[in-house]
Amino acid sequence: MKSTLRNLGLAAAFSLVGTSAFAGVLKKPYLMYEMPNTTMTVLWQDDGVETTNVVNWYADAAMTQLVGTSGPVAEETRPGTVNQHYFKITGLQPNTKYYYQVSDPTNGVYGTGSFTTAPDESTTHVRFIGQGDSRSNPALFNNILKAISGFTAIPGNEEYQRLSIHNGDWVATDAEANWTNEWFKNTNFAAQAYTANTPIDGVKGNHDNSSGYTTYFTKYFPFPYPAKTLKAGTTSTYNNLYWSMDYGPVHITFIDSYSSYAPGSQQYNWLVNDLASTTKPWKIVSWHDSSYSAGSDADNTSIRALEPLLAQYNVDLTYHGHSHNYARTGAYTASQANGDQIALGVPHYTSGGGGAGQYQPDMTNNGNYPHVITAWPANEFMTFDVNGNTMTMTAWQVTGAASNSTDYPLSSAFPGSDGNSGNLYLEKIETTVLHHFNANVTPQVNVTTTGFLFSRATGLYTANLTVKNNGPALSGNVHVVLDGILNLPGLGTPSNMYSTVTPKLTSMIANRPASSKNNPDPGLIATLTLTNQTGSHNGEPMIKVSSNGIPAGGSVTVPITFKNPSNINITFNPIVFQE
Amino acid sequence: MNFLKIKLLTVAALLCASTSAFASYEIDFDVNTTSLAATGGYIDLQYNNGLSATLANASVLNFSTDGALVGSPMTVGSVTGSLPTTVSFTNAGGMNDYFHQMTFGNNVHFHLTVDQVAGNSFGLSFYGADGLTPLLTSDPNGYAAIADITASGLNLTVNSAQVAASQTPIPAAAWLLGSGLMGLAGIRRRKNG
Repeated sequence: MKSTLRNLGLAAAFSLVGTSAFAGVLKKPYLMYEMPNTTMTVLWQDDGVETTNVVNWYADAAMTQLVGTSGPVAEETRPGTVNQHYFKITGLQPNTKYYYQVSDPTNGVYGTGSFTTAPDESTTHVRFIGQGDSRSNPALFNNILKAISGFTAIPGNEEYQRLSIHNGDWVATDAEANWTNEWFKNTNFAAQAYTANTPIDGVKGNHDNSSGYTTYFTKYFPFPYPAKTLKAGTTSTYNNLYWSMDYGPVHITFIDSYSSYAPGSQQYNWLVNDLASTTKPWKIVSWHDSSYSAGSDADNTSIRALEPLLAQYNVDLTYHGHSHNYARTGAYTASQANGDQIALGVPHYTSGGGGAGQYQPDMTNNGNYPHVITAWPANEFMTFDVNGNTMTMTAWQVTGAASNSTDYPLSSAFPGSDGNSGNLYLEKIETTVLHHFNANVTPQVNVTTTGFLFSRATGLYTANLTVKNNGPALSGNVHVVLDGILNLPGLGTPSNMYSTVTPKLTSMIANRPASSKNNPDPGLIATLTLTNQTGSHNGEPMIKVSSNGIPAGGSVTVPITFKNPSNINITFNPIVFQE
Repeated sequence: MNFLKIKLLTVAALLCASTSAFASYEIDFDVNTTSLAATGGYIDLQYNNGLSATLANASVLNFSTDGALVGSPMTVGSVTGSLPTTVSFTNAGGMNDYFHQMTFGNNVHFHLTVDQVAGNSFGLSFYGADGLTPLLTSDPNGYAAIADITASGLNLTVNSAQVAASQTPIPAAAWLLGSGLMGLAGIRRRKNG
């Protein structure tokens, strides 16, 4: 990954960004996606020549095959610096790559970029990026976007560039100057390249918020909020900035956690309807401040009131920022929940390492941050890969992005010279996989094992696992998830360059993973590895026991082998799924 | 008469060996170690649970060999005793293992009594002098024989032509012999009287 990123990242990052310095443009063209899949929205800000701004879009990178033109795009009526422009390209073909250019006759080309329209509604495969908390350190933010561009430039990863979702805290303060000097900093060439070629959708954070309202976030990212509410006495300040979107097989719901979401509120009722009415198989709910994180910014304990909705409407995962690190939290069992309001089996991801200063996670599960499973201090981002009935999420550490790094010192010219980033590369933090199985058939089967015998020859524990079907015949693939065991192979081995505790953190596994303070539940076993696993589900190992079902009254037996270096008592709760 | 006494005492020992509340399986193991004669190695006995959370017991009795046990055993988990006398296991630990160095002779014999609690397994292995190289087995995991206690009964798996493992109907026979013992005792008392 290291050399690949070095070699490919920069070339790709800058190949499609405009080359015409800053003449006439204050904020270079950037993208957001509002639906439907035949559209893409281009935004930019010029220095005063408004009426002749034009967007042209093309079928080829050389921009010789013109597909359409906007005609003059008028200045938007927005607060703060004027000359903001917005143009929603329509009539595009889904799942198609286009190249675009924004220009005016006086200043020439403001910028160029490309995008791939959202996929067909019926597609079962999409990929996209997740990022958050990009505020306050524009140089670091630039480096992270450079790393993401490098990632998406790697052959096979191009699809991730189609979309990014942002979980909030885009800038330090919702003020014009912050947007100008952070998100749109005019020397952040990597960031400009990224935003010109990747539509970014998302939700506001507390730093994009002022007493429940927002002015400039909605100026620069006017997502299609269904019920944004103007603040009395203002012309451009809103709350209720919730909205949702479809992207192929995925439905993403963005909750405004700084407007009321209490049961009975406008947002709550909308959320219920939104989750109930979507027909998309995969559901992600995102808000900024997680109900369960690893800190050190406080959990939003009030919003835990929405957790029952996550369970009721089969939400697959939640996605957050606020705390500037990576964390996966959750509870698998009522015992682990221990009375806390938390949707069982729903992973809650914190991905807040997008540029803001890192926070050291609290992994004790013995304080204010319960149900932490894994956590890691890092500048990071996430990738989402949906493939039919499987969604794979990976958190990536951007190693070497911090200008104060001593482990991976950056070039003295960095980031002023974007051509030199030899110490910038990616390391996997964690990969988790979710499956949509046809049915949980645990109630109709009986799962037993023989004793786990240790072999001095192999260093492994071995047993036979038998699934006896006491119900109707099962067909297709039959999987057994070993609930109660942490899937260690999902963990990466990133450098601990962002750990500031003494001694430095060496494990991303929380104490009593998924448990909580004063909870006798020991949490997930974190010292066992199922060495012949065929996959994992929601951070726990899984083994396929049959690919052609189990007849009524029949049974299948497969060997299972474990690494068990602590010689602990091997125990798990077998959950059986028919795929 | 002395022979009868020995047999009766043996049966009594078998009956008393396990104080478990569970019925037991009785298995005799006979191992031909001629191919290893005069070489050093280890005998490894292990009794572990699976998903069963029920506390259960196993004991190795009547161990004999024409080879020699060397030094003291190494044990892990819930194991008590030392060969050639009785070695008792419970399934309480993640690994309950008895590992004893020996100089192999031509044979090893012992009797296993193990609770009829499903989800537990007893394993017999022999290792070379390095303690890692399995002997007398075709099993890559190194087991010469495994006794799995399942809900449907005892599954004996033997992975070696040199190992014979046979379930013995000791409990029923023991009751028969026990009643015979009582009868003999009655006869003896009548004679003495």
